[in-house]
Amino acid sequence: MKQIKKNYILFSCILDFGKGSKALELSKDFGCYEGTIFLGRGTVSADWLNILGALDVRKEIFITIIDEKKEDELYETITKQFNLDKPGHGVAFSMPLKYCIKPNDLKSESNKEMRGVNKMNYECIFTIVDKGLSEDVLEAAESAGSTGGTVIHGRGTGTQEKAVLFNIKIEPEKDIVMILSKTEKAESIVDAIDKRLNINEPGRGIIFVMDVNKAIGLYKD
Amino acid sequence: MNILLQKLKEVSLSVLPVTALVVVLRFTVIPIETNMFIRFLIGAVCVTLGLGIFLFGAHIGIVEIGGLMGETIFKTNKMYLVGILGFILGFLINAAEPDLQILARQVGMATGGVVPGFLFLIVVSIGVGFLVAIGLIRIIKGFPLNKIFSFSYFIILILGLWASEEFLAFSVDASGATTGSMTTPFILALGYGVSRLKGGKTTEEDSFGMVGLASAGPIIAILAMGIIKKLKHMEVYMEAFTPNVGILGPYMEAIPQFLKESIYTILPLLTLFLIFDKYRFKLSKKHKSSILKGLLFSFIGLALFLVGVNAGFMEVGRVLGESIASYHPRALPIIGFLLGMVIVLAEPAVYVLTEQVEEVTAGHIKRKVILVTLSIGIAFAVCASMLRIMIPALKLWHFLLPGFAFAAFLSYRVPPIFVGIAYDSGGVASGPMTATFILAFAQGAANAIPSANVLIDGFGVIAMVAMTPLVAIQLLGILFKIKAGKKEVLKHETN
Repeated sequence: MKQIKKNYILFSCILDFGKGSKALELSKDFGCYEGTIFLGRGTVSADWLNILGALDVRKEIFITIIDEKKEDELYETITKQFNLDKPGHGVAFSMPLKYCIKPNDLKSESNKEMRGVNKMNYECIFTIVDKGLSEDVLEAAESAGSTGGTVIHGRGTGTQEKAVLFNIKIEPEKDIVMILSKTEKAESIVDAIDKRLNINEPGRGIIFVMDVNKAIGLYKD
Repeated sequence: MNILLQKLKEVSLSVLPVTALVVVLRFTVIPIETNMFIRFLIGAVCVTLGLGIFLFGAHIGIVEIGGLMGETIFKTNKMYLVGILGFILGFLINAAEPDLQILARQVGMATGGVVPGFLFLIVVSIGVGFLVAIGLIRIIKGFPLNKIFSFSYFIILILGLWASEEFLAFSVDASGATTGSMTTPFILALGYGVSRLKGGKTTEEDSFGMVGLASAGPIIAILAMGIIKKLKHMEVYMEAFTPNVGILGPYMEAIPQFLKESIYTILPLLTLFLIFDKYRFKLSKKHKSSILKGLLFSFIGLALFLVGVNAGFMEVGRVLGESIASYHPRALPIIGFLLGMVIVLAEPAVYVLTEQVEEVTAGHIKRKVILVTLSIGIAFAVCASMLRIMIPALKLWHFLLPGFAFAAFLSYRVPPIFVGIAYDSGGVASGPMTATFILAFAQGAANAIPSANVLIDGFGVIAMVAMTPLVAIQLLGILFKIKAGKKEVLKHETN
């Protein structure tokens, strides 16, 4: 497999409900290949809302993969759009990826050294595919020695998908599969998923892997 | 402040269209007397505030309770317990619905005591309880929704052939009353609570359809009762229409009445919650107090909303219908179309439904898309009803029969989640706003046109409003399917 040295970053923001689609649209201008949004609940900052009884509010979490060189520009745009520099409007953060597999680029590995003194024995593998394919991902991963995984329900688009109804974009539903594994097994798990789902072909999805400092609670074999 | 302002903006935008339409009509075609117009504007403020407070409260109160109860019922792990609990919940919540109690009293009088009001109430509630139980069992067993709906509406069709037109009208109205502003969010959340615990591949389609099923219950129950009791004709007296006087007077009368009605609706929910919490939920103090506050807010909001609708909107609807029918009869279908388009936006349960749709599909099916579709659907419903009032040869069943048949046909062609959302929307759209404003508009129009029958034509509107969303939302499902289909083709080409 061709390896390209290119540093990719996982860019995430947590925004009020309904703003995720806008962030997704903006990110496309920065060459982000696939953006995914999923729903969550967040704490309420205003005291008086707590008094009224609102314990949490609906949030949208937006994630995308971006080239390290364009990261700062995206930060700037997102901050400006959602007023993130003022408190209470949401947060944005990014994390380095170990490597990712997506169409066009094939496999691109980061050459960045992780900071920290812990010996890294674990990696976290994220696979984002069309809804309903999560079982295939989990099966493929299991065949390569994974002990389990977590599926998150989300929506998102790659560059391929464009559908509009009443002037409103339809973003297809996605499954985000998160698998924690020992570093020595991660490679073969990723390959198994890639092989089963043909991630290299456009519109199939994306896999990215992050280093994990420490993990606990996993099955030992 | 951010969140509350945003909510207020959202709610204002939903009440503003109907208010603007009435204001425009007042200054162009239909002169509404000043006092009534001021009452309408006060009503619009009450409705906006009431809707906002109600939705805030429903979100942290009723929806939470429904979800918790759904989860608890699922955890019993015994099918007969699921059935029994579903029946009891459906029965109690429904029997407390004030609209239904009023209707029961009317039926008691109209049938001269052959069907006592109390019996009517019990029969309808049994119908609802039974179908809520079936709905819950369906989710767990995974029966397909389209077959259950086809079957229920087939039974209604068979029973309907035997019943008189007045009886049909009553059964449809009871169905509208069943899916009131409190029951709908609760039943929606109940089904969602069960389906999200069940999980699996069908969670999305399992999360909808409960309200649609619950609204079929009363129709079946009443029609069956009519046949058993051999009721063919009823003498129905309409309350004479007396316009209100003064500006604040009507509000002073409405406030205590609707405070009382709102208490009736909230009490069974509160009692059930307290009982379930003591023995099952055992919630943290913070969570419990949040739910109780939610119930309090929904109570205040609902009372305010109903006061605004009844003291401000209803008579304007009536006067609009009457004057347009008398002076500009040709404009009746067009204005009906416009009213239908804007009115559904102000329906409280529509919000709860669309929010749940967004949550279940992670934002794939957006609220706005559902709202636009519903708007178009209801516009056609009111427009067609006006045509029917004007043209005696057009009968209600000329619309309903093909409409429901087409809906049943579509339900085998669209993605299953749209079947559930569509049938739920039918119950949701015929909520308190339509049942007062649009009903009054239709009755006003029917009153001014000699060939029309106020009772039958009036109720016909509700039946139409309950039918068109089934078709509209499922057509939307077809559109979604086509758009998704394109993607499949693209994938294929790249292979």
